[in-house]
Amino acid sequence: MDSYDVVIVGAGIAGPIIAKQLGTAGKRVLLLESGPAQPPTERQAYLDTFYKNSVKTPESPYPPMNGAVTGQPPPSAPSEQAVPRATVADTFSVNVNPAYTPPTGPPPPGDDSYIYTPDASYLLQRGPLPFLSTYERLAGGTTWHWLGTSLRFLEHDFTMESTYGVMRDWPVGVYDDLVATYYNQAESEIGVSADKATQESELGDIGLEYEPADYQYPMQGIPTSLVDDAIAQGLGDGTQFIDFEGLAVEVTPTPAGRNSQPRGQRRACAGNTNCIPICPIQAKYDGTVTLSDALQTGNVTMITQAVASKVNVDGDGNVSGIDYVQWDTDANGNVQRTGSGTAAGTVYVLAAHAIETPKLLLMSADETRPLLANGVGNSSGLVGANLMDHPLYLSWALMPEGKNVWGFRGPLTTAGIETLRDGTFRSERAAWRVEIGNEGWNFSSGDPWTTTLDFISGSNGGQLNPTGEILFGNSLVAQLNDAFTRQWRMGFLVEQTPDTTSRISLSKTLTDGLGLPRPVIDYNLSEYTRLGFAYAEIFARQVYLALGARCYTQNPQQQAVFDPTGKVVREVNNPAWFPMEKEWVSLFENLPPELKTPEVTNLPASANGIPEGFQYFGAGHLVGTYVMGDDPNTAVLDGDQRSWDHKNLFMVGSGVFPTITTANPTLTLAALAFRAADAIQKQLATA
Amino acid sequence: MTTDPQRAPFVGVSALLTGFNANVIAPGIDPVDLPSQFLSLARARTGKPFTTLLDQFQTLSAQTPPLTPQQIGEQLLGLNGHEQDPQVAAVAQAIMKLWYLGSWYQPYDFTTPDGQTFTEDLIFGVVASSQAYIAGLSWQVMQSHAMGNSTWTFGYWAKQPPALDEFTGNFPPAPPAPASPAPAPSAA
Repeated sequence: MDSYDVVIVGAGIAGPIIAKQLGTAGKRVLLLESGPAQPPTERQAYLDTFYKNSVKTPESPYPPMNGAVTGQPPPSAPSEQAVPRATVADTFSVNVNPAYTPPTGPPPPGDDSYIYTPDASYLLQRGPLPFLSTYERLAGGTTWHWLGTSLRFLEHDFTMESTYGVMRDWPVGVYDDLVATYYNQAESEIGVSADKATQESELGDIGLEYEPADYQYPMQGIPTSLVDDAIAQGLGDGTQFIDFEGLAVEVTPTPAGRNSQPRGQRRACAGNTNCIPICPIQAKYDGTVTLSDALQTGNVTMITQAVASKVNVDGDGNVSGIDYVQWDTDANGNVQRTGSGTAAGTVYVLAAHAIETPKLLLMSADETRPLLANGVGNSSGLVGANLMDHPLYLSWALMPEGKNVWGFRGPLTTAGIETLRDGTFRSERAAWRVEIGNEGWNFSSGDPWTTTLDFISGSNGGQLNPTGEILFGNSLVAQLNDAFTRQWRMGFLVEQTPDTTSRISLSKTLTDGLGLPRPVIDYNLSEYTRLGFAYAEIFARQVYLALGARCYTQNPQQQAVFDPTGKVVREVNNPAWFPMEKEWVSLFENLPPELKTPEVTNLPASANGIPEGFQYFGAGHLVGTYVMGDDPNTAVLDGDQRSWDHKNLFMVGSGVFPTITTANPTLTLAALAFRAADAIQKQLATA
Repeated sequence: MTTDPQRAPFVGVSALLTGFNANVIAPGIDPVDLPSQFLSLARARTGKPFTTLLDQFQTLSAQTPPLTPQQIGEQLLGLNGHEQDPQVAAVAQAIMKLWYLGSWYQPYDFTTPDGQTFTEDLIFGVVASSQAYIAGLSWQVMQSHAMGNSTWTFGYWAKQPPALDEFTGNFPPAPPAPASPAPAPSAA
C-alpha cells in the first residue's frame, strides 16, 4: 500500500489548492474525489445537458437530477445514487410533505418526519425551517456553479463578539494573516478582477483592508451594467435613508473571479449571463483550474469515484488511514460498488464541504473508544453543529415606464450595495450585503418563461398580466420587450448567528446508493437574523421610492402544486417562510406614508405597509460545521485548521468559519486553504 | 429535393403570430433550420387541428381586400368575438411558445396513429433541442441572447443593445412625407 505525505478528501477548490501547493513543493499527495472524473471536454456535455433541461436550476447541467421534477435527464432517487447531494429541485413545492409539522422544541432523535419527501430530497430536513443551499460532488466541486463573487471579509467580521457582543470571534491572528498574505494569494490563484482604489474609497471606512499599500488586483474590474448604473444614478450621492442614518448608501462594483482579459489560457468574460449554473467558456474560475495545475506537478495522484467512508485513528490518537469505497454505474445506470481501499499518509486533510466532511467524521464514530465515541475529531461535540447559510431576501421590481435597463445581459452580477455590511447596529440585528442582479426576473419569477407564457396563454403567474390579456404579433413583441427590459432585482445576503442546534447528523435508517447514511438537518433562523430581513425590506422600499420603481416582491405563505395542465393539485405551506414579529410592527408603522404604498411594497393598501412575513432562499453558502477557534472546548479545529483531537488531521473549506459575515465565502475559504497549506508544509518539515 | 408543402404556411403563420419577420425565423442560409424541426415536431403531436390552422392561415392570407395581420391573428386565435375551434387556437399558441421559448408545451392529449401518447402539459414543457433553446425569440425580444450562449464580447453590457427592430426584423414603415412644409414657428 502506497503511503503519501498528504491524503486529501475532496477535489473542489480547497482540496486542489492544498494539493497544488504541496505538489509544487515536492510532496506526494493523494486526492480522493467522490464524484466522476473531470476531463475538460465534459464542459460541452454539461452545457448541452443544461440547454435541454426544462428546469434551469444550479444543478441543471450536472447529472443526476433528484426526485420528481420532469425533464431531462430523467430523475432518480437519492437513495439510489452513488454520490447524492442537495439540489434546489429537492425543495420545490411538489416535494413538500403536506403532513409535516414543525417541531415545537428540539426534534427528538431518530424522528423520521421531514419537510421534503426523502424520495426527492437528499437532505432529511427536520426543520423547523429548511436549509436551502446546495452543492456538487464532482472534481471542481461547487465552484462549477458559484457566482464568482470574490469579496474580502471586513475587519469586524472577525471580532463580532469583542466588537458587538454577539456571535463569536475568529482565532487570533487569522485576519492579520489573510490581509498580509493570503487574500492576495487567493485573488491571484482565482484571478479576481477589481479596481482596488474604488473598493478602498467606498468600503475602507467599514473595515476593508489591503496590504501592501501598492497591492493591485490581478485584473482590472468588470464594467458595471446598465442596471447598476440606473440604480447608482437614482440613489444619487448616498441619501440618508430612514433607519440607516449615518450609513453611506452607494453602488460598488463587485470583485469577481472572472477574467476581464485573457489570463491563464482562459478567455475574458463574454457576458453569457449564466455564471450559475455554468460558464460556457470558463471565463469564470472554477476549481478544475487549480486541480489541473496540481496534477501537472507530477506529485499529485487523484482517484475519482472514490467515496471516503471512514477515518481510522490509531492508539496514539493519530489518523492512520482513510477507508474509501469505489463505485461505478452499469449499462442500466445502476450503482455498483467496484472496490475499496485505504489511503495512508503522514497528514490528512478533509475538504469535502460543510455537509459531507462532518458526515464522514460522524460515520467514523467508535463507541468503544471514548475519544471517538461521538465521531472522529469531535470531543467538542461541535462536528456538524453551527450550520449556517446566507438566507437570501429576494426583492424584485420594474423600473418606471420609459426607463429601460436591459437586464439579462452581462455576468449575473456586476455590482452591489456593500456599504451597509457593518455598523453599530450589528449588536442588535443582522447586517447584509445587497447583490444587484443582472438577470431580470429570471431568479425571482422564472422569466422569460413565466411572463412569455402569461401573455401567450392569458395567465398571470408573473404578476404582469392581471387582466389576462392574450397577445400575438406586434403587441406581444412590444409587451414582452417592455417587461423584460425594465425588470431587475436585489438579493440581500443576511448574516446568520452560529447556533449549535442548527446542525447535520446521521440518519439511522436512510442510506444512499452505496449504503452510507444520509444527512439529517436541523435548522432555524435566529431572531437577530429575522430582524435583518425586516430592515432589508425597509431599505428596499426606499430604493424603489428613489428610483420610481414598482415593486413586485412576493412573500407567499402558501405555495401551489400544479399538475401539467395547470390545475392546482394542492396548496402547501411554504416551508421557507417566517412570520413578522409583533415587536417589529412599530418599525413599519412608523414609516412615512410614501413607504407604505402598493408601489413600493407590493402589498394591498389595506395592509398599511405591514408585511405578514418573509420568504427566504438559499445563497449557496454552506458554512460553520467544523468551526475553528482558540479553545478546544468550543471548537473542532485550532487556528491553523488542525483538529484539536488529532494532530495530523486538518480540515478546510467554509466549514471552518466561526461566523458567516455578509460576504460570499469562496475567496476567504481559498485564502484559508493557502494558509493551511503553509501550516501543513511546516508540520511535514518537522515530522 | 422537394420542400415540405406545409413549410411555407408554417413559417408564415409563425411569423404572424410571433411578430418576428419570416427572414429572421427562416433565413435564406440556415444550417440549423428550426422551421423544419418545429414543423415536424408540432405536426406529429397535434394531428388534424395543425393542418386546419395552416389551411385557415392560407385562406385568410389570400383574402381580397387583404386582412391585416391583426385581423388574421384574431381569427386564428379566436379572439375579439371570433369563433374558433379551441384545439386549433391551442395549436397556434403551442407554436408561439415553441418559437419563443424553444420548448414544446403539449396543448391537449393526443395519440399518434402508431400509438404514441402525448399528455397535455401547459406548465413544464420539453426543450425541443439545444438550438431551439438558444434561438428562443424571448431572448431576442429582450434585445439580448440566450442565458448560456452569448455571441457578444467583453463589456457589451455596459452599453445599450441594438434597437428591437434589429432583432425582430420588423422595421416600422417610414413616416409619410408631409403634404406641404409645416409653417415656421413665429418668433417669440
